[in-house]
Amino acid sequence: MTTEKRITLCIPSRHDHVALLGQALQGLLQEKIQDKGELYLLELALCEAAVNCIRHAYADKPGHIVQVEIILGPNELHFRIQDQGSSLSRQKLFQAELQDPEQDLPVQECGRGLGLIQAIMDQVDYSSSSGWNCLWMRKTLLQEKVCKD
Amino acid sequence: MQIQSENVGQVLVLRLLNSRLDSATAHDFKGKMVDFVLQGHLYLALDLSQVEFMDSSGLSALLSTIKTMQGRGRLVVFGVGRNVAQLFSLTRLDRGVIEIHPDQETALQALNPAD
Repeated sequence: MTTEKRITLCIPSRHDHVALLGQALQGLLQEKIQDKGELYLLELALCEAAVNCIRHAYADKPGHIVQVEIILGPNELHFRIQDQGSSLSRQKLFQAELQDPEQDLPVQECGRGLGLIQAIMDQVDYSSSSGWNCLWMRKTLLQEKVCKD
Repeated sequence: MQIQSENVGQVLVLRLLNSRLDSATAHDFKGKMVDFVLQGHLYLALDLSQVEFMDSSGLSALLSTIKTMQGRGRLVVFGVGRNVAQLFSLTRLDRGVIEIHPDQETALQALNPAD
């Protein structure tokens, strides 16, 4: 019988701890998803979200926490990335898209994190409540990439 | 951030020895790359074969290096693994912004056309 699995992780607001989230995700998904390219993209989306908290919500200041909940269902993966810093503009999130270098010049040096998240995940939402900001993301796991339990 | 360097003709071949180029390492990487450019190395071939994970911060560091060259030189990359190739493709930076070669030989040929 397949059941939903949940894990909650907390890291300090330091860039050198973000990789730990990626490693934990890899460990959680390695038996579920065989495609290493898909695993990389999911790790990338999660890490970009955590970096966004550290860089923008906390302005790169240490001493805060980033809390990540990973929910793994039979055919879906959900991330909830939470911080207690400055809120993100929902408009900025929903308008985020990756620049096309062939169309848009000059090429931007930075600012691709939210666009990558939007490109990788199937659904993204953002809310703020009781001092916590929450970036929620969902990805459908394709059947051929899901191993039987 | 560990970068091994080797002069081959007019080209400085740089081997990135870390497996991650991300928000934790990109600042240091960018500083080292800009230093190479400011030292007068304007033809850089960057070996990314050890890099298994790159994020948008790593991309920014590469683009900053290219910008520092201000059109006076060239940065090409080679040894790009599947993950990094996916990132370049997703961001469309593989379409004329970041010059990608399959191996060191072709990267050097591109930067040393007389060879």
